[in-house]
Amino acid sequence: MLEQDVTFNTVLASLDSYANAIGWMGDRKAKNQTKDYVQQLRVKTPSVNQIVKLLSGGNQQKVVIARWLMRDCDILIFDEPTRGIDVGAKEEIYRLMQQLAASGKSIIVISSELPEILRVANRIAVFANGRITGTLRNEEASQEKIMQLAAHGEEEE
Amino acid sequence: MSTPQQSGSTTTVIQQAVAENTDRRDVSGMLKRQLQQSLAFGTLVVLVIFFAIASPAFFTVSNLTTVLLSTAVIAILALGTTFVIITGGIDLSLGTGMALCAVMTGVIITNWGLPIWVGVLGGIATGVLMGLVNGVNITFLRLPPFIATLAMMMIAGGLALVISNVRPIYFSTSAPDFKRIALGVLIPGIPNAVLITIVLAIVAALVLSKTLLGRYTFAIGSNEEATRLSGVNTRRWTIFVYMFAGAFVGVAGVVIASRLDSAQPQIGMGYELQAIAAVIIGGTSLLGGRGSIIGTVIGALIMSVLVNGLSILSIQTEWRNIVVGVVVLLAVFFDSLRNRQRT
Repeated sequence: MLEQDVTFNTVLASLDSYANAIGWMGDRKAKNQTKDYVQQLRVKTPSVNQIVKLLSGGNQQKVVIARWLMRDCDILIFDEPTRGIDVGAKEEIYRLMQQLAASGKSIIVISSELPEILRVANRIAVFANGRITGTLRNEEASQEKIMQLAAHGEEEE
Repeated sequence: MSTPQQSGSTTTVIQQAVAENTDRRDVSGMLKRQLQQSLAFGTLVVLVIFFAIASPAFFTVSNLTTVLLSTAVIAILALGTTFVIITGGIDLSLGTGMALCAVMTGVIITNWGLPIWVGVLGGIATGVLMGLVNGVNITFLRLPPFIATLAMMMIAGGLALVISNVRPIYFSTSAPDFKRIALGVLIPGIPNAVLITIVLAIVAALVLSKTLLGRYTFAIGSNEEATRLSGVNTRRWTIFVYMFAGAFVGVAGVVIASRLDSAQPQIGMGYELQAIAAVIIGGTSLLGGRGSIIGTVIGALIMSVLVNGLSILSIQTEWRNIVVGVVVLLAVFFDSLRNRQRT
């Protein structure tokens, strides 16, 4: 996908909704919608025709997020959403997740980065060895408590 | 209030810098892409000029018509297989498959005495059916495309011989008009086979760049797993791509049968490699995800100009094969060179 442009990558998961009965693509509509999302997510790209490979890691990540926002799902799963991207882009992605949550979407974040978890989650379920070893509300959670639960699970085995 | 504003202006500056930077890279990337296309086109022009100077017999209307006519069948096969190669696959069953389609057309028209259009549709349907079998073998049985289509190459070649009793099927008495499909002239100066090729090239180019099938062809070739995770039924679309390519094999079978005014069960061998070579020379990547129809058309023209030009210079067939082989080597070498630059 990295060889393709921003529009291609953004509409990939909803391509069929841009095609008519015989499979002809409505390119203008796809491009305009992509522009909307590029603006909304503040993707730093010279144009929607830019090859995704030439964007920074954080902006590539935003394009992937745009791909799924375009489908307008109620539940979004973010699996390690900020791995390998810079601090500024991380903040933007956190802000974005909060916006989405505020607009009524449910978000499940999978992460192994404790500060990130404490920053974004309302409820935290800690897994160890494939089982949930405890669920914490954000107010009562701390890095120590999370680590305790994570280690606790291992002792049991 | 002043702090956010300040940080806001800083980000704008960064944004601009990033934008300028990537913009320049985008332009150079575009130039590179233009270059690879013009490289093939330039090669074609140089070859034509070279042969035109080397022999007065080359640049004549009748010889150029011959070149176009001999390009037709390989170009039609190459158009369809461009899609397959962009998905990262390969189709070795093009050649013998084409022979089988030709034989089926012959059986329907000559042996069964049905009208020509039924024979044409039957030939194309045979190609689509082979594409379906190839696609199912590749996606559901998870056979590598090389193996699945190698097996199909042998099966189709064998079937063509069995069905025809190892004898050519002639159309001259059963359907005297059949040869006009390829050799008739609807538009003065252009044999129908060439016209068919041009129309199919336009259709293929539109499908590749403007339709869902084309988008998924590129998506699957770029990264099949990521495409699947984006909710795309990649198996179904891979099968569609092989069936689409199969339809081109069917048309090629009809055209070659019409041109020879007979269905020759043994003609297919070797055509698949020439078609694949044309696609590769045209800049379509064997790794998938990249390619164009115009490139394939140029690639097919380079192949037939080379063969025709060398034979006009009365160079022996053996040497012609060697030259074509070297050209394929060079094309793949430039392709890998481009890939290295990109990473």
